[in-house]
Amino acid sequence: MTPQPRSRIATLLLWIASAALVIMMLVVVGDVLLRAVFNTPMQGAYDLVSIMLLVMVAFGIGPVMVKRAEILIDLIDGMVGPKAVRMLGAIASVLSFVVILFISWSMISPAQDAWRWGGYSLELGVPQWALWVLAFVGLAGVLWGAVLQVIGYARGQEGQE
Amino acid sequence: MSGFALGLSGIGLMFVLLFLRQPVWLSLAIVGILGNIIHNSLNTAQYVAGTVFFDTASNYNLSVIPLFVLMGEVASGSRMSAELFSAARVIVSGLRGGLAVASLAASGAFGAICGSSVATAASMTRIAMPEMRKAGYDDGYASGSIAAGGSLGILIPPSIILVIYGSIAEQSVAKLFAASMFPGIVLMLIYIAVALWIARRSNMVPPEASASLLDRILALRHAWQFALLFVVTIGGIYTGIFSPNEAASVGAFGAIVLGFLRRSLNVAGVVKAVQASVIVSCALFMIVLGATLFSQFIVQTRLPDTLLALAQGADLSPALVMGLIILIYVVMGCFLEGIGMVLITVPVFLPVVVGYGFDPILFGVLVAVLVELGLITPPVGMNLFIIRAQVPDMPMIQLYRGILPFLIAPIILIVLIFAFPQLTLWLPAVLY
Repeated sequence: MTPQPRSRIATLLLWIASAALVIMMLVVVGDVLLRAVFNTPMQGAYDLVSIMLLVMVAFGIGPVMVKRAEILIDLIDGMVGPKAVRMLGAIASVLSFVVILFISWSMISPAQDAWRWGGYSLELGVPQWALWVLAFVGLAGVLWGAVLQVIGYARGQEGQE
Repeated sequence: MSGFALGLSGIGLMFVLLFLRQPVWLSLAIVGILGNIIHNSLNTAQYVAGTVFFDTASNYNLSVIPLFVLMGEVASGSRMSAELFSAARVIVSGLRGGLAVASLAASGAFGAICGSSVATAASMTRIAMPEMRKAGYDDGYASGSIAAGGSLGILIPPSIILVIYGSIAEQSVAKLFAASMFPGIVLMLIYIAVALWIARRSNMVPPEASASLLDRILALRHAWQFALLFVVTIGGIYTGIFSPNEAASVGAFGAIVLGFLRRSLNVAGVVKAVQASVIVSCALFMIVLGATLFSQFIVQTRLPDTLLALAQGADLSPALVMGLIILIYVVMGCFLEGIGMVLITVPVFLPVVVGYGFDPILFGVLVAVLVELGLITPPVGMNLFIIRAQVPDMPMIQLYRGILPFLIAPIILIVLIFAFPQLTLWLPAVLY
């Protein structure tokens, strides 16, 4: 069984990301079927897939961080003691928080541009700023995941959940 | 500091961070952001970092990654790999080393519906290892054949590595899938030849009973659902009916429907597969995100252009340059994880390779083969650890010894790719 994140927020984020993946799959299958049977493509399929991918990634990264499922090279584990490994993990979680914070901060300006000058998705006409809002909500979850990682290391919880 | 020196320093810092157990995405992102600040300004770094998340996460072309991951997860969870192995073991029964051959053939077939070598190696270890132990196979030989077979998922389409390569190298994923088909099959055949050769020349494998011709033919029926998925997805891409994204969606949906029809999947199984796909895919997207920041910085430093100019200035032949690049990949593959390795190296090496007149599609297939080699090369071959995690009573050194003879197969394939480029380039030329 896939281990569930300990945080309820992370569990909620994982369910949202999972729903986005399922919708993405169903939209493309629906588009293919409509084209094959009625020779009519589904209006907005391209936009929906792009939006669902955004939701899946934005909301799915938080649970990855909470589960400590990021890909890393653990070559050093055999050379240093568990205390050092835990310390390196703690450093990684603090650095992750800082980098995500920097990315979030950097996103404010293009998001403001999307709000000021409009811009809409190609097929459905969804305002770009709404998509940026979705990205920010997801990133809040990513930051939360990074905080939980830091707390987890501070409490001495080992490795992946 | 010149751009070239800064680029090299950045790469050095990245390796230090990787060695210090920092996640791959984080190492790439830190170097990308810091490098951009030093080389340009904080504003430039902010501009790049501000758009990269949104652009990557809403890139329609990258939706193929989670969808193929989902197809593989569903296929793994619905015992499809077990049925493939059962069919293959009857078909090749009577051969000395038949179970190893069955494991390799089933892995190759499973790789054709599952783009992940980790999933292939994990499920095949669960299925084939107990059978080989029961039959009296040497542990090293058995695990070596499973590890080698598991790596086939990377080369035989659909391949997540090739999708990622396609996105950073701006190459058609459909062409890459077409180009990797024959090399994938050839590699599987070389692995089988190696397995049979070891079985004949050693006492690691006891003789096996042979099935009748009728049993062999009947065994084929167990593989129908695999054949159906393969024909629909990869056949759909090759014939132009589906885009890779559509093939992945239809494949994932088809795998779920087949799982329910065969009663090998329930709602809980689907939820588990979807959630696992989200975690795997988002871990990959994090690396793509970091790699985009990193490659933006590398491009700014003009490191690839300078390397190309240096190589051309030193009058190095194309073969020598390619040989050096392959050597770097082999060494890196001993220590680095595959997707990270592709994302780190391709932005640096691709311009050099193309500058020397090599085809980027051929280079993509070559990179996939080298990543495969890295997956089974001690000490950090990922597939070896996956097997070890599931067979904890086997000493790691026995696993290392078992995999060594199989390492010759990807090397032979690399030689064949350069000796006969049509092995790679013929099918895409015919189809597209």
